[in-house]
Amino acid sequence: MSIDFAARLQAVLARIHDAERRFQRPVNSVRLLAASKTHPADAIAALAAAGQHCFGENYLQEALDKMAELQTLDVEWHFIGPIQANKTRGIAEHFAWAHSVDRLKTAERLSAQRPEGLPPLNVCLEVNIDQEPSKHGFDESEVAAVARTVAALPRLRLRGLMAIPAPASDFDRQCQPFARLRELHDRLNAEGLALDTLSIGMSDDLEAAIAEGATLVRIGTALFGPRA
Amino acid sequence: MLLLTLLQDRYTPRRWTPVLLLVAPLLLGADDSYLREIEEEAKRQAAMLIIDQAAPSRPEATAANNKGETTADRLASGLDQAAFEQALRESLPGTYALYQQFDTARKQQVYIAYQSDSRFAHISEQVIQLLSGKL
Repeated sequence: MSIDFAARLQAVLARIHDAERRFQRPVNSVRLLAASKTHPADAIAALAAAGQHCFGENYLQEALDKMAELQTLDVEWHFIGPIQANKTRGIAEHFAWAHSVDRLKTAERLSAQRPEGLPPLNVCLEVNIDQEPSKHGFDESEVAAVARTVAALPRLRLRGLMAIPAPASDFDRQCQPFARLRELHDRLNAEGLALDTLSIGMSDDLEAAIAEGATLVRIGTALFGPRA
Repeated sequence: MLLLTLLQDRYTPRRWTPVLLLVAPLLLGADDSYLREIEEEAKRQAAMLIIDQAAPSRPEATAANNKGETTADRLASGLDQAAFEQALRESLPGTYALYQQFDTARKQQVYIAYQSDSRFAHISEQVIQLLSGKL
């Protein structure tokens, strides 16, 4: 099994490096986050053995079970699912990153509940970039004010923005929402924030995301195969 | 000179030459130095026009604005295998790193695949399929 995972990891890393080259991004400027929700701990262990370091989980309890099983592994855990109010403590205590902060209240709770002994929790603000009613995330118009507030919270480190646009099969259409997010990211930095992360792009729109400045891409299917 | 200044203010360089041609005959009675001055100015404007037209558009720094380049999403066709490998190395370094792991037979398979379809996506897919043992 580990040989298969190693090959998949190499293939995904090849796609990332090819895209970095094609879109004139610096080498190794894009990090791979393995989206491991619903995939078993032994698959994560196999990918980690092949060299993968960052893993993203969507459900707190499932993630805590895997963390307990894999506690000897040197991996970095990212929370990438919707954050319910009653789950913030678990996320604050066990994760290095939370990508899906979509309410100011959530950020305040994460900051208040982040243990003193841990480094600040890295967070991204989720932006509902296509204004889809079914999606979580801040409206573009409110991000600047929220970002300034979150950046001031003591136990958080605001790293950037995250978005999951509406699916599009055409490359140029895939690029459009990512470009808007990048422009928003750049405006926030011009206003004095120090953001370094654009968490965008998944298996189907990886190249478009990298073209528009992704620094962290979330890949599940291409690494783990289809979910059962 | 005053007329020249007024015309410069009013007209872009592209429009200046025909205006000059219309005005010049009216100035035939003017003294030689004044006509020479107009002629020199006309030459300068013409030269500027040529430079403007010849200058390439300035490439933008952002990746987003380089997307046009990526729509040429294929290697040059008709390369021999050595040139293909060099082009692969330059255009698709990630895919090339995988390709390098292959034995001669699998490299040949990739090269044959390139000859039938030189798109980046096709070549990468061939390499990944070979890597995962699906071909």
